[in-house]
Parts: sequence; structure tokens; C-alpha cells
Amino acid sequence: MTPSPNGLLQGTLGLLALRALRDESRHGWGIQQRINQIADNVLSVNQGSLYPALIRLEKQDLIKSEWGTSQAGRRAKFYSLTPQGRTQMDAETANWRKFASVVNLILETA
Amino acid sequence: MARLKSLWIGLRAFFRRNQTESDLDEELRFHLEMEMTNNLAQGMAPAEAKRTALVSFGGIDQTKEASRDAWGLRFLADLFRDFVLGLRSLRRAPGYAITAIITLAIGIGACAVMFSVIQSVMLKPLGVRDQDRLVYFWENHPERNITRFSQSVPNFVDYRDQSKSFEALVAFRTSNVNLSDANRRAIQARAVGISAGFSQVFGWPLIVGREFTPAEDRPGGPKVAIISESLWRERYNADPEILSRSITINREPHQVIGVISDAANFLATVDVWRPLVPNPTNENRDDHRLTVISRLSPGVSIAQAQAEVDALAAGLRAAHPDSMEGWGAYLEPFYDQHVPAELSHSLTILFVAVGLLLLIACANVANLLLSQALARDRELAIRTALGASRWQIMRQLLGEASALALGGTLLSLLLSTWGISLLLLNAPTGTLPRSDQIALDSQGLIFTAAVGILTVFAAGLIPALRFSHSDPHQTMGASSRPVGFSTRQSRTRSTLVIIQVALSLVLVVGAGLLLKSYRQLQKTDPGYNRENVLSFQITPDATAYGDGENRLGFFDRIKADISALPGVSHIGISSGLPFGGGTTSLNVFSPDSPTIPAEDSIQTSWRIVDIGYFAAMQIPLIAGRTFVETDDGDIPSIIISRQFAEQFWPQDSPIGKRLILGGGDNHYEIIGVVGDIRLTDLTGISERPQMYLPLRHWTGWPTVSFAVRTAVAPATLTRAVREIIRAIDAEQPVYNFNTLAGLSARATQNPKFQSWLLGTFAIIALTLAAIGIYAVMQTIVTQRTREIGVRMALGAQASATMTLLFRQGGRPVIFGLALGTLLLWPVTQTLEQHLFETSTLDLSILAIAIITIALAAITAIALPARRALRINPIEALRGD
Repeated sequence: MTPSPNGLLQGTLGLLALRALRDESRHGWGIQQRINQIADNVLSVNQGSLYPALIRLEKQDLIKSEWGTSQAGRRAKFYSLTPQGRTQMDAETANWRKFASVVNLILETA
Repeated sequence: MARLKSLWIGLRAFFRRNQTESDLDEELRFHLEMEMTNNLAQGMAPAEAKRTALVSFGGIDQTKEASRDAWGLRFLADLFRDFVLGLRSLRRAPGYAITAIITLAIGIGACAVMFSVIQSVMLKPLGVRDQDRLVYFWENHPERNITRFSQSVPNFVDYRDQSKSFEALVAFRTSNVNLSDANRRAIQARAVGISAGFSQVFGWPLIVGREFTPAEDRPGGPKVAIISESLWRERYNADPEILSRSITINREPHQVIGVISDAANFLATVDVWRPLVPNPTNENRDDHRLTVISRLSPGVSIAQAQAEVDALAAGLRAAHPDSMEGWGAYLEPFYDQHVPAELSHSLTILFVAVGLLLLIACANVANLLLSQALARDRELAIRTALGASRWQIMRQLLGEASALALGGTLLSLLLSTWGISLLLLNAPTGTLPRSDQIALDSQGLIFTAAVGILTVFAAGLIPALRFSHSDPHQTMGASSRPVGFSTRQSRTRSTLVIIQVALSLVLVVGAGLLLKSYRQLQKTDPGYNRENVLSFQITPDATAYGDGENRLGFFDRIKADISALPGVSHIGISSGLPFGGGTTSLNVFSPDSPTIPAEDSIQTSWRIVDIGYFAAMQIPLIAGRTFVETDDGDIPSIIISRQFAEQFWPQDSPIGKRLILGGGDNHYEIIGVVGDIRLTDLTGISERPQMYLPLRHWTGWPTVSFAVRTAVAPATLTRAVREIIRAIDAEQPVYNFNTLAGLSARATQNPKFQSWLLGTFAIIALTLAAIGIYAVMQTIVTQRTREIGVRMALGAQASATMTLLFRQGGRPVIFGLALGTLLLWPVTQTLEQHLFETSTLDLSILAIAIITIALAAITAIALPARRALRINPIEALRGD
């Protein structure tokens, strides 16, 4: 398989999805809304990219899914963090912060 | 763990892909509806709300496709599709598919058969509890080159009482007994005397009753017996009251105390079990007749136990210098005794042979796949041109190979079940231990499946690699198809043919060597005439005939009556006929030898024979005379074999010289020299010098064998002989009817079986290689049709075309034969120990093998080549 050009983005989307699930379980659209909220609508990705990312997270056993009922009373698939997912999220968040501050430093001093 | 989970999710998604897809649809629809509702809430018009939702979602189909990728669904779905595609393309070319599947089935099936044999014979646990802790406890005599010898009763008792390395020692000896009880015909039964506690040590369950107690295993104990499950069922109809019965063994009543499972037939087939009752005060220390098996105490290694018994043996030597001189002890792992190294070796050879066979089959299938792929060259090129990746082309070809492998594996299961029964039918009795357990079991199935999968990769990978970089420009270039053919592809196929031919040569030569060795063995002169001699055995009942004159009288009556039968010319008696089972040997001294000092001895095989024996056996007399009725003077007479005479008296005549058997002062006087015969080993390698003792002087040997030379087919006399003996003593069983030829055939069973098996493999290999060559030639002809057409249109002779094709087809065969000849040397070395009077460098066999393979190759080349000659130049040029 060739490395996907938006690999960085995929990883980021995964991390964002994990963070969106930090406090409660949500359905896909809910995750999307939460990400928009966190990212303040700055991140412009197709909403559709979220679903393959969710499947990958589930395959890595970081999140789990089950069918439930939405607030509007409609059948929807809800995602929640697994314990591994929580650990992974913390680790990745820390990593990301470190990475971001290094980039910041470089950009500011360059 | 996460990886497993990921695989699980992928597989679940694959096998329930309709469900998975509809779930995804629903999830996406839900998302869009939520987005639309949200948009409506922000004041958009319905149409606008829908459009905006779709735009920000960014392509539903792309999302679905990306999701399938994420599941890994596409990969699996593609594989599955390629497999189905493979099946379909096989259906288009059934001849090719059938050839490939049969080839694979034969290769895999042969492997499965040999695996099952090895599995049951070598790998499965033996029929005892904790086999790793059991050891055979032999006595040995390194000076006399005796490595495993039975123990004497006093030694057994001493070892048992003094050793600390063992949890238990079990000694036993087998015998034939006369079994009778009220209202039933007396039979000869196989009996064993065995130490109390044996069923515990070996883990054999009693079906009824109990085992012997230690008190019953001591002199003066009660007469008790355990009977076998078979005897209980067959003779006593599984009588539940069997424990209240008493049976008569050698005319002495014994109380039945138990019935033991037939699992106990592992060491020997036994009808009646009795306590051994070892009594050291009654037995000689130099009379070795007990087989001893002991169970190591927990935590004691064989080496530790060996060290202990070495020390004990040294103590016994010091305490009993006269009888124990030179004797030591040797512990042998239980497994080694039951799965002899030689058997493992020959099975391994056969397994390697089927491995070669499988390689040949793989090469064949690879070749067939190549030719098939070649025929579809353009299809593959078009696919490449349309953007199929190298991996996709490869997968398509592998998909076909897996379809073939699946077919081949399924068919091979059928073939191997059939092959196993065929093998068991031909396997000599008693040479494959536990042959009754040979079957294709779950492990065999797993093995077969694994071989099948490996085969796909081995056979499918070569064409897959070859064609995955097919160059569309070249294949579909201006001339639409190149005249001639691609050398690169033909080189791959030639290499495969070279390998096939080389491996076939190795197998054919190997089989030829074994076959020749078997012939040599059959042709060997055993030193006596084995044609037209009936043999049978009698164990005269000790209570009726004692061990002296009465026995001789009984034998004389039998001889007189049988001699009177029409067609009987001679009759002789021996303590053991050649290949009749059992070995008896003694160390012999002579005070009269110029070459061997009086204190040195030679281990000599002995037999007790009567006056008619040499004439009946037609063993030639070389010097002196054979026994006469009056050979019972103060100094007993003895007859020796030529080899014996040459060792003791290379120059002068041995007649009148004295011999001392086993030590002591008693002299025997040599009265005659006879030819050496093969007693237990047709090759003669393990035969010792031989000597004969007169029956008149040695009347007490329990079981004697009769040899009746006849002018008619010996087996026809069996009934008459039975009646004669019944007329003399109705209570006396007579058993083991056979012929001398039948007895010695046992010695050739093994080599016969081995050469038969390897021969079968060789024939299969040859056939597969011929098919391989044929397939390659067929492809060459197809490929060169246009070229041949052009040549013929330009006036080429048919013979020139023929030469051209033969040169191309024959070259790899010649290379293969050369490579095979080089491979032969190291491979046949491993056969050496199985060969008798056959050199591993037997040129005539090599020549025959080469000619056979060459002939097969010529046929395989000639058939497609003839087709080439019938090519119509016009059509060939117009083709496509």
C-alpha cells in the first residue's frame, strides 16, 4: 500500500475523534459536531472522511461501537472510548503537544 | 491482541458484508439527515439544506469505498473474486485443470500417506504409560560383542533388590503352554510369566478382577492366572463369572483372578498371564532368559541409573566370578527398542522420496500454470495496459493456483485413504510397529492442508512473478505477436524440467538399487534347500512326557508315522529352524586349537538336531559324519559348521578335536563339519559360526520344530500330519504349520516392501516428469506455430522441424539427467546400509534409469512435435 498523502491528517482526525469521545459516547454526526466545536470550524475536511477513520480506530481496539437510539428517537450507531483508547489518547495528546511546541519554536526562531 | 481483534473485525465484515454495508448505509443516512435538520434549523430552504449537507459530506461513494478499505474488506473481497475467477478460468481449460489437480493430488497424497505412517509408527506414544520413564534393562558382554541379552533369574532378583534408581522392575518370559479345561478342546496358548505389579507399571487396565499380589509372585504361592480379553471373549464368551473358574495350564489347575485388556498385547500377544515366581536358589546365574523392563524413579535420569547398575554389575562380577565374568548391564530407552533406528532411517528415506515427488508435482503444476498464463499473455497484457497493478496480476494467477490446490488437496485426501489401505495390504506383518493404527487422522489432515497451501505458493509463485511484469508494449506491439518465443519464459520452464528430470532420476535409481538388492537377497543361497519342506512345532507336555526318553519315544512315533505318508522322503527335528524365530548361542572354547588360546571363546549359534535333520534340510556334509542313533557315549558328539572349523582349525582337520561349551570341564568331540546356513539373517552379516548338538543327548529342549521334506506340495500334508499326532496323543497340540520357504520369506519381506514402495514412488515421479515435459513441448509448439509455418512455407523439411523441436525439448532433459547423476552420489549414500550385494554406484542401474527416462521424454516430446508437422503454413500465417 502506498502511504496516503493525507496520513498526517488521518492521524489528526483520529486523535480529534478520540478527544471528542473523552467525556461521553456519541454517534458519528455528534463526533463531527464536537470536532467542529473544538476546532472552531477551522479544520475543513469532508465530513465523510470521519467514517473510515472511525473504522480504523475500532480495528485498533481504541473505540467500540453499538447501536442505540438518538435523542430524536432514531436508531444510530454510538461510539465510545475503550480503556486502551483512553491511554492512547493521553499519549498522543502529549506527543502532539510536544511536536506542536517544537514546530512553534522552529517557526518562531527561523 | 489488537491485531487479532483487527483481523476478527475484518473477517466479520467480510463474511457478513451485506449486513456491514447496510449498517454503513444507515449510519451515513443518519448523518446526512442530522446535518440537514441542523441546516434547516439554521433557516435554509429544504433543497438548499440537502445540497449543503451533501457538499460538506464530500461524496458518499468515496466514503463507502474508503470504509471498505479501512475494514480490509476490499483485499479479502478481491482475493475471493480472484479465487472464483480462477475456478472459472479452469473450467475453460478442463484438460489442463484436471492434469494439474491430479498431479497435485498425487504429490500431496503421497506425502499424506507417508506422514500418516511416520506419525503412527514413530511419533505417537507407545502403548504404555509414561514411555519416557521406562527402560529395557539388559545384560551385556562387550568382549563377546553381546549388546542386549536377557537377564538370569538370580541377577534379576539381585538387581531388583539392590537398585534404588527404579520405582519397579518387571521381568517376564514367554512360553507356549497347553491350555485345557472341562469340556473344551485343549489348545496351545501363548503364556507369559511376569512380575507382580506389571499392569500398574505399563498402565494396562484389568477388565475383571485384580492383578497378582507380591505374595503370589513368590515361590510356594498359589497357582493363579490372568487371562487376556480376547481369550475371555472368544473361549469363555465373556463369562462374567470367570473369576469362579479354574483353568488347566500344562495339566495343572490355576485359579483365574482377572481379565486384562488387550492393550496389554503391546509387548507380545499373550493369552494367559502367570506370576513369574523368580526363585534364585533353583536357577543358574548364567542361564539368561528374562526380559526386564524397569521404571525409573521420579527425577532419576537414564545416565544416573546406568551408573548405579554399572556399580551393581561390578559387585555381582566380584561375588560370582565363574558365571559373571565379563557380564555387565545396559539400560536402553523403551522407545529405542520399539522404534529401531533402522526403521526410522528407512521411513525417513521414504519420506524424503515423497518430498521429492511433491517437488516434481509442484514443478509440473508451475509449468502448467506458466503455459496456461502464456496462452493468456495478451489478456494479461491488456489488463496491465488498462492499469492493473503488478500485485493484481499476481493475485489473479495465485487465485488460479489456489483453486487448483483446493481441488488437488481434496482429491489427495481420497487418494491417501486409498493409498494407506494399499500400503497396509502390502506391508509385511510385524515390521511396521502399530501398523493397525495407521490412518489419516486430524494431524494428517492438518499436514495435508499445510502441504496444499505450500504447494500453491511454490507452484503459483513462479508464474505469478514471471507474468506480473509482462510488458504490454512488447506483447501487443506492432507485429501483434512476436514470431518465435520469449527466451526468458522458456528458460524458467526449462529449469523446471531440468529439476523434474533430475529428481526423477534420483528416485528411479534409488528404487532400482533397492530392487536389485532385494533380488540379490532372494537369490542368495541360504546353505540348505528351502523348497518342498513342511514345518511345524510341538511342545510336548512336560507332565506327560517328562524331559528324557519318553520325549524321544514320542518323537520317534511321530517320525515313523509321518515317514509312512506318501510323498514324504525325509524328516528331521531341530530346536529351531532357520528363520523360525528365536536365537540360541553360547561361547565355545577348545583346548585343541592352534589359533585360538584355550581361555578364549567364540560366540557360536547352536541348534539341537536329530539324526535325520541334515538329510531333510539338505545341508551338505563337508567332513566326518552326521549323528547316528548311538551318539550318546560318555563324550557327547558335536557337529560344527565350516566357518567354525576355519576359525579354530584353519590348517588341520577338526574331526576328533575337543570343545568346551560355555566353560567348565565337560568336553564334546567333533564328529563332523557341515556347511554354514543362514539361520536368522539372509545377508549373513550377523550370522555367527554354527554348531549342532545331538537330540539324543539334549532331550529337554521344550519346543521342537519338525522339517518334513516332500515330493508333493508341502502344505497339502498339513491335515494328515495333524491327524497322525492326534492319533498318537489327542491332548497334544501341534502348531505353527509353515514351509521352509515361507519362513525364510519373512526375511525378505522388509526389503521387498521398501523396494515396492520406492518403486511406486519412482514410477509416479517418472509419469509426472513426462507430463511436465509434454506440457512444455505442447506450449513450445503452440508458441512457434507461426514460425514453423513460415519455415515450412519457405521449404523446410519435416525432419529439420523435428530436429529443431527435439533439440529444444531435449536439452533440458539432458541437463536434468546430468544434474540428477551428480545428485545421485550423496543421495544413494544414505541407502547404502539397506543394500545387499549392490553397490551404490551400480552403472547398469544408472544406465537403465537414464534410458527409461530418456524414452519417456522422447515420447513426451514426440507427441506434440508430430502435431507441429501437421501445421498448415497458410493457416498458421493467417492465424490470429
